[in-house]
Amino acid sequence: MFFEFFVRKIKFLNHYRNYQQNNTENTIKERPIKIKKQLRENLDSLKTILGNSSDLKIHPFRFGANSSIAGVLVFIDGLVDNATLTNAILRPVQSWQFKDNSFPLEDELISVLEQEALCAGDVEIVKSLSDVISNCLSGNTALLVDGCVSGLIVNTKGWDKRNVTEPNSETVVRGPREGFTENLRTNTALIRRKISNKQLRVENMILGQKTRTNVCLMYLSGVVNMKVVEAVKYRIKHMDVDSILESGYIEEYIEDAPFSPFGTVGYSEKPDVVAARILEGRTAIVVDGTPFVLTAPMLFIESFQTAEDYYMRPLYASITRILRFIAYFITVFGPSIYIALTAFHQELLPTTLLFTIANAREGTPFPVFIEAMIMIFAFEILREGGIRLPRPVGQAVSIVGALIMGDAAVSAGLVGAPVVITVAITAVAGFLVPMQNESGSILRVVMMVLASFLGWYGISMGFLALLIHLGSLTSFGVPYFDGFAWTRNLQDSVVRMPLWTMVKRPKDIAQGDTTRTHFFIPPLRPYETQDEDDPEGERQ
Amino acid sequence: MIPRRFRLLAVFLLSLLLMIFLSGCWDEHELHTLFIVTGVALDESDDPEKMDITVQIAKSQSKSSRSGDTEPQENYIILLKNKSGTMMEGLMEFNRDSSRTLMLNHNQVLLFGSSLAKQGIKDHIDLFMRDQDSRMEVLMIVVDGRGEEALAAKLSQDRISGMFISRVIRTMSSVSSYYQVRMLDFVSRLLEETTSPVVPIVTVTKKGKMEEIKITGMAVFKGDKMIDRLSNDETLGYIWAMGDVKHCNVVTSTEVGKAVFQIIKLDCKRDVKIRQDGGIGVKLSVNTTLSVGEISGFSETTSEELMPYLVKIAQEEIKRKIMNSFETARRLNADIYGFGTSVYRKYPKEWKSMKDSWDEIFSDIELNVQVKAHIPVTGQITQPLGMKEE
Repeated sequence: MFFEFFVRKIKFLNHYRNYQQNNTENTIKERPIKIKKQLRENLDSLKTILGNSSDLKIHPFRFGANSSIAGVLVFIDGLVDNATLTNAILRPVQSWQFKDNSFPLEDELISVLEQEALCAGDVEIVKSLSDVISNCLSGNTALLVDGCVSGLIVNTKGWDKRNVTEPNSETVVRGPREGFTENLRTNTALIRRKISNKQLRVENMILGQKTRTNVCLMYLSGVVNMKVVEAVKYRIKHMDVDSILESGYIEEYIEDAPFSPFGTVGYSEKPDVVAARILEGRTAIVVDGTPFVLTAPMLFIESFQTAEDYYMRPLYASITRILRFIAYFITVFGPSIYIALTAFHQELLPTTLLFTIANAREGTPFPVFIEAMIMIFAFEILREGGIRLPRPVGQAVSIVGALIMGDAAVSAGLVGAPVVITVAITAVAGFLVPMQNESGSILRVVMMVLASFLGWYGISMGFLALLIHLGSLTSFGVPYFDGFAWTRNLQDSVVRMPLWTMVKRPKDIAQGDTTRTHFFIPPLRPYETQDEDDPEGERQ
Repeated sequence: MIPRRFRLLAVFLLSLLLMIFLSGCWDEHELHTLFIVTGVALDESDDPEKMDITVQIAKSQSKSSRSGDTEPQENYIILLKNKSGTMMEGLMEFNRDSSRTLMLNHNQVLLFGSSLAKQGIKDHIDLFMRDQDSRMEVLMIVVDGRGEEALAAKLSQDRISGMFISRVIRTMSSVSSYYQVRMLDFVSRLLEETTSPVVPIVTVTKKGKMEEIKITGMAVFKGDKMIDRLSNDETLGYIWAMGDVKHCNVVTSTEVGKAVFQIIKLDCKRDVKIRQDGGIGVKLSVNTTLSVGEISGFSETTSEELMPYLVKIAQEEIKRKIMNSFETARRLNADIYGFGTSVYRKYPKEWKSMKDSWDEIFSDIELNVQVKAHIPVTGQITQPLGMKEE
């Protein structure tokens, strides 16, 4: 790889910095602050740590016989569900009566409260103030009691969240329409609902020194390649990251080839897609705050597989998949082939087509490469404009784009009509493979440059370099081009065979339980089922 | 000191770079710097050392000029003419005097004026075979009169006469591939020493303000010199004898009626043998499947008699045409059929002695034609209207 040198350099710098940091960190490592007996002291230190933030709510109340005990609820306003707060903590604690009218000892009080008073399912006893803070910040409520050196943490998470809606990035005609939301638990629940299997593992971790984002690792133990899980964990553990606002943050830190135009970590917004990948033995990384769930390892072929491929009947699904391959080829090589043919190899064009193109080229001021570049830039500008703008304005942009770029540019004699057609087809073809849209638009330009210098020779060189690069890529140790080689199961590569032929899970991804079904069972005919269900049928 | 490892890498990368930049680049030519040549005509010049070269170029129509509906015909083509000793000189002169480079890749036809063809064309086609731009697939045509007339012709069917001629020839190749004489075919027949190449011949005739270009037969070459021509009828006999027919009609006419047959399949087996007296005997067995295309007349014939009769007249007609064209070939003493090659393949030893005196042996060939026709298909109706029912 060309970039290996840089990667090594960066790694070295990283290690160096880590080393320095570790040296300094040891000295200023903050020691956990214990919960003091005096409630006032605790509250004061809480306020100083959180800097008197206005959304920090401290609700004092008294409970017990004759309201003799002072307690306080600490929570962040907006992160907690007020109904839970009242029903699970306040009301039961305040109306709770001590048994035998005895007054428990100070240390016992907390555990008695936890076991007898609270009406909450998720309660935890903590002893340090830093735990109280981190729990409050993630939406829990802390119950501190005067005179106790420990506190109670009750899960009262409840903030405003988006409902499960149809995902915008992957729409389907046939198939489930639910999409992930920004809420981590909703997302893991959506996956869990697809795979209600005892082997589905959910591992939690908190990432980002500042944002403290919850991240879940989900995989099907027994099916997943544990090496991949270990690799994912290892890479995540060694991330030194300040904030995680989207799964893309993690993707960049854990991908195999950071400088490649090809992404080596998959993502999806649809629970059924992620569930299918987990069932194939992949690992899913669910990140709080984003509806995009990462999956690893990712293969090149995955970009060409859509959820609907498996919901439609195999014949048409195979045809559309082949169409997607052709479209990707067009989107990468379309303009460059056009350049090579019209600027280098006119002899390869049929004579009448050559006349047509020559007529269109007549009087246009730029070389064909510049012409194509202009159109592609125009397209990328329009696309970017269309995406970022609000929908009503976006339509205006697309109308202006279609009219100005398509028609006016040609009739003004700035570019030839065949270039517009080529670029238009190229652009539309790119949308057929959304996962590889980024790589497509980069490689397209690279190929165009090669074609403009070297013609077909340049294209074939670029193609070879591309193949070599793709062949050398890996995703978490799995070859990126897996799924095309003859030694692999090919039921689900260029064509999608019927589901009942996919007996095995993909090699290299799944490990352990690699068989989906034990037998190759085509659909039974009606009389065959009759024979099995009703053996007496023969007698009649 | 640079480490050895890096030096090796640098050398490797450098050689890769050289590989890239020492190739490719030079043959970039944008379309608007090119003249697309659609036809080249070579004619006899008044200077015996030179020839007249005419090049027809399809003119690209820019968008604005295309919108005008009444365009003079001249605007679709550009004709460049000059006089030079060799083709290369001529091309150089064209390139010097014109704003764009000539591109021979899409040259459709290579036309020879009949007077130049009679002087021999071997020396003029060298460039077209040697040059990598021009293709060996270019069609060779002899023009009755001067070739430049055919290139300058204004036609009602097509704006560019070079394209028109090549389209006509390609249409004719659905009759038989022998109409489509590419330079490749011409040269390979020329290399067969005893075989006489034949090349389609076209005639330009005036018709009002326009001109017409028609195929009027085949030019027969002896060596590289044109000696005479076959008429269209004789050409049919020739291609039937060669056995390479795709769609072709057999037109027969007798006193009782006329019948036109379509050839569905025609095989011609050729058997050469050395006669007792040392001469060559050739037996052509033609085996053909016909369908009835059109019948008129035959009102006196009964329906039972009709089919055998039709078979008979079809066989006679095919045999007559084949014999006819063979007699012409014998008269011209031009082995257009490649009988010499057949003899060489069958009798390689005896051929050595025959080779030099092939002209005499050819004129003494005994041709025996046997035609076997059968007509399984009569089209959608079996009998012509008004035929006697029996």
